Amino acid sequence: MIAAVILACAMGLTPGADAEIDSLLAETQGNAEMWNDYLEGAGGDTLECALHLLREVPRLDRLEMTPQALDDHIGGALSHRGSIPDSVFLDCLLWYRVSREPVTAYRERLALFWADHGVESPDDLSRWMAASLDTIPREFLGGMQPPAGVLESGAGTGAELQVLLVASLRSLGWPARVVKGWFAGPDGGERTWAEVWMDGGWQAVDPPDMEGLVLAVEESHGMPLTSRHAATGSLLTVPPQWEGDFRVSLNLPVRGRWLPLDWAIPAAEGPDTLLLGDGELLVMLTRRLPAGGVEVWHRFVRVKAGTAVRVELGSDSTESEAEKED
Amino acid sequence: MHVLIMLLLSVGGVLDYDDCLAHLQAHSPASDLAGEEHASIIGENVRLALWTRDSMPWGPSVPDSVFLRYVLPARVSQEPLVRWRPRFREAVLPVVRGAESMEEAILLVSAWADSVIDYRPTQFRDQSPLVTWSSGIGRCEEMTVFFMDALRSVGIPCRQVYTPWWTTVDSNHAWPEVWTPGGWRYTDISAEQETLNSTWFTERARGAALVVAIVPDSVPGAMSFRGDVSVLNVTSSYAETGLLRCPEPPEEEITVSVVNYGSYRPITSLDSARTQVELGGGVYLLSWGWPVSSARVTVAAGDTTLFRPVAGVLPERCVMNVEGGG
Repeated sequence: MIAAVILACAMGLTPGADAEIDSLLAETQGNAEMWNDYLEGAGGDTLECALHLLREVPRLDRLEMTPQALDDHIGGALSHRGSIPDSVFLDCLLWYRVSREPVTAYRERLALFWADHGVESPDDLSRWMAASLDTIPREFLGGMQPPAGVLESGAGTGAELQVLLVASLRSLGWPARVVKGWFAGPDGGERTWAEVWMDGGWQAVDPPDMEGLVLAVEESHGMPLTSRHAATGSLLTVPPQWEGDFRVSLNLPVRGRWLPLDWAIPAAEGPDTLLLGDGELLVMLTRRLPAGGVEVWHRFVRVKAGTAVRVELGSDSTESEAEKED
Repeated sequence: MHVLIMLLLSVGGVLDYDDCLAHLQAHSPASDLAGEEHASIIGENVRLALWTRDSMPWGPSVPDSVFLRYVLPARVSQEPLVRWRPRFREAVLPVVRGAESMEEAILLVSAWADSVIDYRPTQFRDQSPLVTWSSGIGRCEEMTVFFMDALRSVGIPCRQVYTPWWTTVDSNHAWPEVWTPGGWRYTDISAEQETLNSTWFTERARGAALVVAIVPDSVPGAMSFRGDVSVLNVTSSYAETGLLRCPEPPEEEITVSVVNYGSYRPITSLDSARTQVELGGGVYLLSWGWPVSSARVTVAAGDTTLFRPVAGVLPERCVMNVEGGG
């Protein structure tokens, strides 16, 4: 009961909650009855967890959800509740989604499978998967396999294997999250890795080489994590004197192209500061012209760890100001 | 080409259940063929697809090769594989009863779809056509899946086409093309469509950089293949096109981009195996190598533009996405 009270506080349950739930259920035509029945039959921590999921999961998940999946995820997560902080519990243990896989009940099955295979640590898991599962190319048609499907077929795409890894960590009671990183350089690009909550902190499982990391975010909630993995500097942007609607973007040089940093877009309406890893960026300012075409302004900027670099968007000056950070 | 069409027409109408099942087994993603539930969906899908040949007025006019690629498939894109044929047939059959031509039937199905579902941005993961139906909303790809399933449920051949990025607005779009005895035509869900090849985006598509059709089969002459799926360049059905050609096979992949959402967004690429591509007339950014080199290239409509990668850098200012060159 104490845990239920803590959860209720953490989630900010208020008298207005009923109206919010009604409007979510109204949006869930076709599956509102399932949710209503489940919520009516649940109590205590189970009810709090079900309410949290109803609020936070994507709309399609609300439509695809089943009582079996709710029982599996809520029951599985609560059996490992322990002393995990509320936010870590809710976002990274109770949270069942990893990527674009379908909604399935997977915890009981995966926990049994890994117990049978004597897995005792996240590294055991990762090693077993690397040794026993095949990586296959992504097919253009068809969706992602559910995590249990990867175990059954013995093979998955890189993304499907990552779903299995994170789903398995959560099934075994280790809160886990996916971190997405953008790396500069000839072999750069986007890469993701899993992190697990152990001994009061986050540890990467089988992480990539962090050389060239410019930006890192927690994938499901967008929380910036760059400074945990790289020495960072600041990029200060000053809006241009341009009329009309314009866009600002940061783009990372990788082999053959500039990769848009869509998760780190400087504000267009006022000055902004972004923390980024050491490296060169292409800053772009664009606007659509009334007569057709897009006017583009380019500027290459070097972000240096421990310093701040200032860019006046759209200016003619070729010098960008660098200053020591206080 | 004419010889090919005559060959195809000459073998129309001899396909049986086993031929169709064999075709789907050879051309479906592996995940669609795993498990008893999927086998049952695929089997029923074949029976109901074959039913349209015998029962719809236009059934006999659809050549076998067109039937196999464009009526028979159980899926369109990345949506979950579900049992959609029975429900769609039941609803759409009365809609097209009395239609005097395939064209008229297509417009009737389009208006019906418009009365059942609305456009609304949803989520990254594709929802099934049955979820689109029960919830009444979908984004453009989900609407296309819904519309195509409705057309295929009454034996009208269709395929998905899309433009990776528009040149004149910040977005992209997917829509269906339908096969008629007179050739391929495009359409979209609308209550006010009077003829095929005329929709709300017709004007926008005149400035398209690239439009491609997706065919779950190996089609000779395809622009590229993604596994067993062919990507056909159909830009010339929408825009005045020109040819971009590398007279010598490039040593490194060349990325062709347009500006969208404030960054350079790749639409296609050239390499030693593909040395030319047909594009809507306009201005493109070509980039390659490390450090990244680039060139702003104008593809003239009705002409061939030769391109040799010579190291170059971005100008500080330029105008991109200029339609028809200039």
